[in-house]
Amino acid sequence: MRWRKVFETNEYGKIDRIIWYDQESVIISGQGRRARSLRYADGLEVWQLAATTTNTNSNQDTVAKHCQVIKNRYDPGTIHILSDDLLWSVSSYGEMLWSIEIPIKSTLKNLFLLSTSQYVIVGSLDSNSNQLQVTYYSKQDGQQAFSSSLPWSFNAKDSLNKCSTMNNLILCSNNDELSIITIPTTTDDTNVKTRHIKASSKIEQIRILYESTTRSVILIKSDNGETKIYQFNKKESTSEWDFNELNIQMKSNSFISIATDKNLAGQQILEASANDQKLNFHVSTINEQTLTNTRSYSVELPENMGEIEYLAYSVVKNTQLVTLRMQDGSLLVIKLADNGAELILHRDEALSSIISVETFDLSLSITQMRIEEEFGGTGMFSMFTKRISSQVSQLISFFLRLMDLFTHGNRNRDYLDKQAALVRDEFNLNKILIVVTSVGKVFGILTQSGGILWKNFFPNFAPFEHFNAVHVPLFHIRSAAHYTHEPLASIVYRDRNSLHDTHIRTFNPYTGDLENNLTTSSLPYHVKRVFLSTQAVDEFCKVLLFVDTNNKIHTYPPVPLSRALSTTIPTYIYLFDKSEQAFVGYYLSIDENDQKTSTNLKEVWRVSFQNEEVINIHTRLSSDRVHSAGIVLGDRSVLYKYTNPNLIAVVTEGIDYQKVPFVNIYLLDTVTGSLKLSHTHKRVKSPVHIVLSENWIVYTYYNQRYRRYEAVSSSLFEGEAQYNYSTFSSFDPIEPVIQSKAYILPYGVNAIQVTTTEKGITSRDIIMATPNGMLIEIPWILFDPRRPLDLTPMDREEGLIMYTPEIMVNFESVINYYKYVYNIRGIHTVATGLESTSIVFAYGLDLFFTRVFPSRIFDQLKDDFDFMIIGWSTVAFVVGSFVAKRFASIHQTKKAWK
Amino acid sequence: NISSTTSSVRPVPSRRKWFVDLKPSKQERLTIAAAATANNNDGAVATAANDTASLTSLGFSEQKVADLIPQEDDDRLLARRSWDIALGPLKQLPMNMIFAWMAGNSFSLMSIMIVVMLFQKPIQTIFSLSSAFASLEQEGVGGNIWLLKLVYFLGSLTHLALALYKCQSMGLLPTYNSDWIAFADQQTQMEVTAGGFSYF
Repeated sequence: MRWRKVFETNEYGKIDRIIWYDQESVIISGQGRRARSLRYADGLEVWQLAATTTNTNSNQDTVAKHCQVIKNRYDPGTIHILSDDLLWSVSSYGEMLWSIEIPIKSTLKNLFLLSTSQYVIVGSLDSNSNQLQVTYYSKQDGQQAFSSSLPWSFNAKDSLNKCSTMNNLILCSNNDELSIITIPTTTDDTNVKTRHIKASSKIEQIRILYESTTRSVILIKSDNGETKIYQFNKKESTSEWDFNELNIQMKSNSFISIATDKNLAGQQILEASANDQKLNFHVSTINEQTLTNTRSYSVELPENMGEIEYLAYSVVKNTQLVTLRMQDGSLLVIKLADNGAELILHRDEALSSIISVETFDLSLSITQMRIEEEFGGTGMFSMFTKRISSQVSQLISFFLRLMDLFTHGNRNRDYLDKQAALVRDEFNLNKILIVVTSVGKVFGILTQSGGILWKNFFPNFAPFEHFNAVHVPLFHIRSAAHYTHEPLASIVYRDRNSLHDTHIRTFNPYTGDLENNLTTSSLPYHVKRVFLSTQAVDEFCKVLLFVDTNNKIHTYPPVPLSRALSTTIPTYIYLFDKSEQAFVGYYLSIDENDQKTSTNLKEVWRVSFQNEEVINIHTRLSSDRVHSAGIVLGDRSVLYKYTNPNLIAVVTEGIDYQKVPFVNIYLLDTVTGSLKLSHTHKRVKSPVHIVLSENWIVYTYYNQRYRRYEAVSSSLFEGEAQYNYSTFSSFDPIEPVIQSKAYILPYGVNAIQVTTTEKGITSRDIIMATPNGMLIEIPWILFDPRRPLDLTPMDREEGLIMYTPEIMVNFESVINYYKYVYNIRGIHTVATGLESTSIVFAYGLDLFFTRVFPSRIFDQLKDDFDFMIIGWSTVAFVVGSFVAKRFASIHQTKKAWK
Repeated sequence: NISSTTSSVRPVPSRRKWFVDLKPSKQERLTIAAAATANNNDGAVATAANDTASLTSLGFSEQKVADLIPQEDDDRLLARRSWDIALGPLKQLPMNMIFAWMAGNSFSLMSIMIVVMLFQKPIQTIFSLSSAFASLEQEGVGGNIWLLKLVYFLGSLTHLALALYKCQSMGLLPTYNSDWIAFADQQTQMEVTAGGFSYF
C-alpha cells in the first residue's frame, strides 16, 4: 500500500461522491459541505474547500439532509454541489466559483441537480401544489436565470429513492413503469416531454452505467430478477434523447460495469456473476444497438466470498482490470488477459469492521499433555504403572525423533514450525483471537504473528443491533483447558432476510471447522437475549440459554435447566426494553429434580427512565478478578472495597426543562434493581466510554461548556468494617460510600479499557484510544478518586498522589509508538499465564496487538539478564570454596604442629 | 669474714621456675653491714645467728602459721558470684535499651541488625542457661540454684520483651487488619446475574 488518508469520523468524513480526474480526484463529503482533492501519486491533499454557510441553524441536524453532486459534462473541470438549500460550484483546481443559498421554504424541497453547458438546473418539489419547480441558474456566476414548473406525482421520499438524474433527464420508476422526463435546456424551449418504458414487473433499481454528453447507458432491474439495459443517444441539435434496448442475456445475480478508453472504438461492457467460489465475466463491445466480440473469462476464488457487492471495470493502458467488492468485504482486483483472468490482489477489508472478539488459549503440546496424563491416575498402583509407561513412551519417542532427525533432516521443517505456532508457550502468552466482523466473516488470528489462521464466511449474516452499534454474541462453549476435547466457540446471529430467525454456529477456534451437532438455524422461538450457562453440562460443554419474546427461558442444546444453572445459587436475569426505556429483573427458580428444558421467568423488579433515554449499558469484563478486599490506609487500617459483581453501568441522555442537555450515569444492581450511584453532568455530550472494574468506574465524555474531554472516576467502599467477610449478597444492607473525582484528559477518546491479569494482583492501567491514532496506557492511580487536595504524611504513606485536574500523559506511555491506529472502536484485554502481563488488542479501522506490564516486569528476568555471569560466578564460588577448604585444613594442621 | 650470705626470691619475669640468688644485692649488703657493726659488740653470737639464717631454705619458718581464711567468707564469695551470673542479663538491659533507642524506627541496615541482635542474645542466653550455672553446680551450690536460674531466665525474657516492643514500634508485628487482608479469601457470591438489552 502506497498511501492512505483517514477521514474524520464525524459527518465531514462521510463521502458523498468521488469525482475522478487524471491526476487527482475530488472528494465531496459531509453532506456536500466539504470538497477536497487528493493527488494519486502521493496521497497529499491538494486543496480543501468548505461551503460558506451563513445560517447555522441547530435544527438542521435533525432534518435529514440531502445532497447531490454532479460533474458538468460540458465542462468537466466544474463540479456542482447541491446540499439541501446551498448550491455551490468548485473547479477541479480548487477554486470556489460561486455559492448561493436557495431561499428556504418548508414546503419546498430541493431534489434534483442537472447541468447543461450554460445552466445549472435545480428541481425542487413543492409539496403544496405537487409541482416540480425547475429553476435555472447561470453556470458562470450562479445568478438565477428563470424558472418553470411541471406537474409531479411523487412525494419527496419517493422522488429521492426512485429517481435518478442523467444529463438533462430525470428517470423515475413507478411500479413497473419507468418515466423519462426531459428537462429543456434552453430558454426558448419550454415544453417538458415525458416518455415511458414498461418493464415486466416492479422496478427495483435504476443504475446509470455510463454517462456522457451524447450517450448514456442505464440498467433497470426488476424484482423478478429481470435486468434490462438501455442505451440513450442524444438527438442532433436538440435536448431530446433516443433510446433502445441492448439485447444482452443476463443472469439475475450478475453485475454490469462499463469501461471506456480513448483507444477503444466504443464502450466495453462487462458482466460479472459469482457462483460459489467462481467468478464469471463476459466482456463485449457495444456497437450501436448490438453487442459484439463477446469473450468469457472465469477465475477461481481462494474461498467463498458470497455475492458481488460492487463492480468496476476499467481499461488502463490496454490492461483490462476488474475491481470487485464482495459480500464478505474482500477487495479483489482481477486482470483479464488473453490467456485468461488472473487474481492479482485480494485484501480482507472485513477486518476493519470487527464487532466481537474473544481469545482462546492455544492447545497443550504433546509433552505437556503427557505430563497431565502422567499425574492423572487414581490409586497407587495405577499411578505407578502410568508413570512408568508414559516415561518409557517418552524415551521411545525421543529416540524416534532423533532417528527422524538423522534420516530426514529438515525436510518437513515448515510443517513442524506451523504446528509449533499452535502450541501453547510456557507462559501462555500467545493466544488465538477469534474476531467476528459485521459482514459475517469470522477470522482466527494468531497473536504472535498476526497471521490469519482460518476464515469462515456466513452468507446470510446480520448482527444484532445494540443502541447505535452492532453486536454479535460470541461464547466460549468449551475452553482449551480440557485437553482431551477440542475447544468450541459459538456465535449467534440473525438471518439477513428474516430478522426474527436466529442462527447458531459452533466451531473449533483452532481450525474454524463447524461442529454440526451444535449448529442450527431453526430455533422455534424469537430470541430476546442469549447468554451462557454457568455450569458445564456434557463433556465440559456449556450450553446457550435463550430468553424468548414470551419471557421463557430455553436451553440449546435442550438439557434440563437444573443441569445448566446452579440450583444452590439463585439466578437473576435482567433485560432492557428499549421501547419502554425500562430495565426489568427476573428471578429464575430451578428445582433440583426438575427435568424441564424451559421455564417461565418471574418479574421481580423494574427500573424505568423518564425524560431521559438510555444510550448505553456497560457490564464489567467476565475475567475481572479482585485480589484484595480492601485498601490499606496510611494508619494501617483497612478501607474495605464494595465489590458488587452484579453492578452494571447505565448511561442516559436527555434535555432538561431549561433546554440544557445532560448525561446521567447510574450503577444499577441487577439483582435488586437498586441504584448504587447516580451522577448528572450538564452541558455534556456523549459518547460516554466506560470502564467498570473491581469497585470503581471510570468514564469519559465531552464537556461542551469548556470544550474538552473529561474523565470521572468513582470508587465504592463498604467502610472501615466489612459486613460479611466470606460471602457477598446484593441483599446485604450495605450503603456504599462513594468517592469521586473528575479529571481533564489531554486527548479525545475513541475507546477505553482496563488491563486484565490472571489473579488481579497487578495494578490496573487504563488503555485509551485517541482520535489521533495513539493508544495510551495510563495508570489507574492517576484516576484514583482518593487523590487528596493537600497531601498529608498519611496519604504519602499510602502512596497517593496529590490531586491535579489535568492528567499528564508523557509520550512514553503511548504503547503503539508511531504506528498510529485510527478509528478504534474497541479494545480487548486478556490475562496471560504471567501475572505481570496483560494482552491488549485494539480494533477499529486498524488492528493493533501488544503486551503491557502495568506493574513492570516483576515475575520475569529482564531481557539483559546475564546468565553467563551468574552461571560462571556460581561455578567459581563452588570451586573457590573447595580450594579454600583445603587451604584452611592445611593451615590448621601446621598451626597444631607449632 | 665473708661467710654470711642471704638469699631472697625476687619476682623475675623469666620462665625459670626457681633460682637462688647467691650474690646479695647492694641493699642487703648494707643491712648486713649495719647489723654487723651493731653486733660487733657481742661478736660471735651475731655471726651464729647469721649463719642459721643463711642455712635455712627459703620461705621456711620455724613458727607455725595460723589458717587465716575462714570457711564463712568462702560461702559469701560463692553467693556473690552466683548472683552476679543470675543478674547478668538484667544488667545488660539498659545498654540494649539505649541501643534500641539509638537505632530508630526506620528501616536501615543498622536497625535491622540491632533488631536481629536483640532477639538473638536472649535466645542464646536462655539456651546457655545450664552451662552458665555449671561451674556453680560443680562447686556444690545446691539449694537456691533454682531461684537463680529463674532470675536468669526472667532477665532474658525482659530482653525478648524489649525486642518485641522494638518490632512493634517499627511496625513489624502483624497486629492490624491490614496485615491479614492479603490472605483473605474472595467473597463467594450468593446470586448470579445475566442479561443485557433485549434484541427485539
